[in-house]
Amino acid sequence: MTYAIMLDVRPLSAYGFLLVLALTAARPSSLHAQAHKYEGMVVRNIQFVPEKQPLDASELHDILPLKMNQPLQMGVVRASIEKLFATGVYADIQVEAEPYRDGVAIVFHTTNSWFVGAVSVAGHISSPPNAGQLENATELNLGQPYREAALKDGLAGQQRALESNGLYQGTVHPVFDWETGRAYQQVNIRFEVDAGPRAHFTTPVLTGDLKMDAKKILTATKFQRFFIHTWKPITQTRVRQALDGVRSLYQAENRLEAKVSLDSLHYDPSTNSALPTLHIDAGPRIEVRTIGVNLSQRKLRRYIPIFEEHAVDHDLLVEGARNLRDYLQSEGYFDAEVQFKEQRVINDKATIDYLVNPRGRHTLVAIEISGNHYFKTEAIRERMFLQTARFLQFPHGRYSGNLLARDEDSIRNLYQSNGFRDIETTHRLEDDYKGIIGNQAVFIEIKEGPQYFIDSLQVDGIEHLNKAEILGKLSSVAGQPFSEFNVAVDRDAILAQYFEGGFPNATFEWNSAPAAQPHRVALRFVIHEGEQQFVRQVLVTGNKVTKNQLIFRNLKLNPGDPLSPTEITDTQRRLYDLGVFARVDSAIQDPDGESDHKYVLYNLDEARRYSLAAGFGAELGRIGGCETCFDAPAGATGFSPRVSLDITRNNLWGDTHSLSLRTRVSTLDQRALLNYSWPRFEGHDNLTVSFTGLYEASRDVRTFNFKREEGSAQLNQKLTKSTTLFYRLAYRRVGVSDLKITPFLIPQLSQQVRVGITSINLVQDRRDDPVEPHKGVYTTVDLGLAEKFLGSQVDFMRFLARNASYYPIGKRLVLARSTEFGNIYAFDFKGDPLEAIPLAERFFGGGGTSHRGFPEEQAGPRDTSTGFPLGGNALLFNQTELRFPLIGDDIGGVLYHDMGNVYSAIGNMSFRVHQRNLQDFDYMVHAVGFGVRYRTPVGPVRLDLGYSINPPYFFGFKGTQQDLVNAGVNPCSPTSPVANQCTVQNVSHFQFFFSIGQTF
Amino acid sequence: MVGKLKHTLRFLLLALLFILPAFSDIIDRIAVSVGTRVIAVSDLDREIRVTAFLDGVPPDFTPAAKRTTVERMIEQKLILRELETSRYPMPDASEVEPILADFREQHFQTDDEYHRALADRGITEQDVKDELLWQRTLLRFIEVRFRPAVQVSDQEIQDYFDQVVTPAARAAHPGQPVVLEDYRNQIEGKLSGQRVDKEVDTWLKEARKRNEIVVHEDALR
Repeated sequence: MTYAIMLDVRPLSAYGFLLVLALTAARPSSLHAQAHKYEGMVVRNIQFVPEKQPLDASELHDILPLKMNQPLQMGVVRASIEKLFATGVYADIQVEAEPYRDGVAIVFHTTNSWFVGAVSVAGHISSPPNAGQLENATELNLGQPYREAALKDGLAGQQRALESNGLYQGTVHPVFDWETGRAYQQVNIRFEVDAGPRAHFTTPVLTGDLKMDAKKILTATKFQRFFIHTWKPITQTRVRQALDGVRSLYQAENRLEAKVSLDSLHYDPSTNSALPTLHIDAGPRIEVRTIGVNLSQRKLRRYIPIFEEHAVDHDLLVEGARNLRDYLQSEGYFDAEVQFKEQRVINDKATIDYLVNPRGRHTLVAIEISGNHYFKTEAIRERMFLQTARFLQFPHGRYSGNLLARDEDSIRNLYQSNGFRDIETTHRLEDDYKGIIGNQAVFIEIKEGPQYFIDSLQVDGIEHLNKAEILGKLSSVAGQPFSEFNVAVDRDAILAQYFEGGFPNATFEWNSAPAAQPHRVALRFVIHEGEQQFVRQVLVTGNKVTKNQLIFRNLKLNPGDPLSPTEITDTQRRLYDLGVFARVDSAIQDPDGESDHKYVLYNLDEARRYSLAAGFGAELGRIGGCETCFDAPAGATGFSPRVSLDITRNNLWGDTHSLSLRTRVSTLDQRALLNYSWPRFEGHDNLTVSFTGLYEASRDVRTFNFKREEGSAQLNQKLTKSTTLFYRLAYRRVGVSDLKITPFLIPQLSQQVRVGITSINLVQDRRDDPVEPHKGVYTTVDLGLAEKFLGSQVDFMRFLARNASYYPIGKRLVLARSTEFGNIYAFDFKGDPLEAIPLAERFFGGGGTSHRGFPEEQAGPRDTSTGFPLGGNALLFNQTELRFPLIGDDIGGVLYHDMGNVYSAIGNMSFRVHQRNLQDFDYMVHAVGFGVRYRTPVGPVRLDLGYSINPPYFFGFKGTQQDLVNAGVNPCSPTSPVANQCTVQNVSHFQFFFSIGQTF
Repeated sequence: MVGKLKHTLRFLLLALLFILPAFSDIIDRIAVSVGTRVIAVSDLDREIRVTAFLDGVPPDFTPAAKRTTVERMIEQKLILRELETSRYPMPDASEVEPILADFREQHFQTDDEYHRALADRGITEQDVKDELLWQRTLLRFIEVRFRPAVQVSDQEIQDYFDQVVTPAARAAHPGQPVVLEDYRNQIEGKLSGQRVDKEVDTWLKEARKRNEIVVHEDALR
């Protein structure tokens, strides 16, 4: 008879209640006796009730020790229960036996486990707490077994979250979505919340030893609104701020041990208010003094933790003494000694004296390392914190006893990780080094000892993975130095591969024994693989709008794949990268269950459909000057406030498309941009298509007002991680007005022009850090063609390329350079090639990111009458910077040299440094300067001060537009009637720029 | 027609109520689950029988006795789990042979008497060996896991000697000198034993929190 697990429901089970009654009646008084009755009988039938089991028949067959046609043994029945339960999919199992043919039939009555799926919160939510906080308060985690007790705890947690925010009348009801009929036994729980009205504070009760006026304390709680003195609604944050406020009040009076706690918030439903009871133990006034040196209170608060911890105990005072000593040592008082003395409380006052003996001030001038043969001194020094004195950054050097100990540890670790197991280090300090009083040197002597090598490596236990591949990646191989560090690296590498391969319980053990030769060891790795686990199915919940097809396309796990944590996380990252989910939770259902096939769960929380961003800012620089006159053609110091407002509709059609409107208004620029973006175009992860409409009215270039209406289509193609191509087709209508140039050119240049241009742009970014690069290369190349067949009214080709590279010099310096070259080639034109290109399409340059010898957009050709910039058809800029640390770790400096210009045409490009005459702008302007960078999380704040060595001189016109018209073709010629209104002006030698981010 | 069929079915079912008990028996079920491990009712039954056998008392199957045994078995499961995950050294099965031999010698005259007693209690010799092996495993686990962390200082020994031993010794043997060194080892053993017990209790409490324990109360009745 072939083995078969019968999954039939017995015919009468439809009358379940009667059957249960029968079974209950069948229960004997002694299970032992019942079991004994059947032991030894041949198992002729095995059934499962209910019929539909979470494990399929073949899996049940594999895991069940109980087999057909074998004599029944109670030990095997017990083992079967254990095996079935260990899978995690059952909450209860009973085994029945009944005579069947010539043997016994065994029936497993199983009750399935349920697992937590999506947990969400809906209804009338009054934030705080917001939906996310209420979800977290349940502590019901995706994939964990669902238990009534856990649900009760979750509800209690939510109730606490509501009440701590004053929502005492709030109610929460769980609504279950049992995914019945599915093998994965998942229950999604939606908590319906009715937050109810928020209670408000009332006059708090103050208990304990206040030592302060109650009114003052009440004010510090900020429970009442300013001025109108009504009670604020209760929130957890307000309660916390109130306690902090009262604590600060006591701190200000030097009551450092003041204890302030909320004893209770007693709710009164009749008034919907809660009465806070604050318990205060003011404690004595504690004065902290330093004797021996003068230290500000600010420094004491920074270094002595009693202020921050609101407690005074011996450990904190010791820590304070240690911190003060370290601080003094960092200031050059290397031999400083700090002790403290506590005084008893007398008349509500205690004093803590830090007795400081700074001794002499030193400067660390030398760090000498000897005895090192295996590692070069430089290799050791670059791992050390100790630093010899350096101007500005470390005027006394960096030294403290702790740092020295840490450095010696680093040296020992370095050697030990390379097989020098007996490494020893000693140090010696020498004061008044080389006879100079105050100079100090640190001598570190290294005794390397013998280097231990691996004689042989034996690896046992690799059965399921490719052993050769694993061995090929190990550091601890025969002939290599032996160190526990390398073994740890190998352990991590091996276990990582096992985890990758779905062996979550893999373990690694190792041992070593001396080999025959001295200083050589025989190494043995033992791997216990454990059971391999696989993906049973991937379940996705929570997506309401986003298309399943899109999600499934990004799942990298398939049923039957090894259960790899990396793949699970990678899929999670891919789903995040879609940009339409605010949260992506991933989990393995019942990870502790011993089933070798697991469900992988993803619960998605879709981001808001609309996002709004508003910003305020300002520009400061040589951007100002009269808008209607010819004053300051080279720009005057100006200030331009800016407001921006962006609104985006995300995840259109559930397909990650987005539509966004970005607007910006400043005194110089008004701009509105409507963009439709289609990422992962046609299922290709590396393609993004976007359509853009743009309206812009700008005065960025001081010469004219400029209007642009543009429509464009763009395809981004990410070729590699560092390289992206942009294909673009744009139509724009550009026009300029209020031109500040010679009137004879105005009719020609002020005409509105339609430009149809197609372009291709390559960006290659191989910098180590885009915000503050230290090494690498950044290149952009842009090539565009405007032609009649594209509907353009002007024909030209535009090329612009920029290449920047970064070179570390030692550990601290970075040499950065950037070169930018561009050319516009006009064709099919009449007259002057420069004039064939519309003003708005020309190159303008100069400013904080291109050439710091010019104000913004002030480089290049100028109008010979008014001196205002006209832009050019070619540009060449080169910038070189030396970046170095200046003060501490956060303030750096740069020295720079910028050169280049915007030229009228590529043929006029020149490296000449002298300006030939007041109409000559085709020469190379050089500028040098100094800058300061202050490191912030969003990039360095930058201040550059530049000096232009050979700025351009030009004629400026002091008069009106009418004066200029009356003056004729050449108003600044000596014969002109308005020649006296022409004055020679120049771009200022001194320029300054203030912004965020490195120059390039 | 349908009504007649229903009537027949009801009759058949009622008949089954009386017939089924003669054919169907629950032979085992889950009494307690500890994480992914279970204690079956048959485990509980066997534990009560074996313990009673070793203690030389009749087995007690009252709900209260079952509850006490279950609590002990839960702790056993928790410790076994720790032993497995942390790869503690386990005693060899052969280690219990001399203990079992001593037990047999002390309590039974002949092999027949011994085997008859086993049969009377409904257990096997292997069940007894398993129990003895578990006791040995438990002792070793405590020694390896908790004993090294427990230190008793000279001051604590002195304090215990002054506060407990000296008054008791003087009361028992008035006029005789009481010297610390005579009691040092005993005091140290007692104090460290107390500490170890405390450590074990604390660990078990934590282990209970870490593992979900579900007791099927109806299985204990």
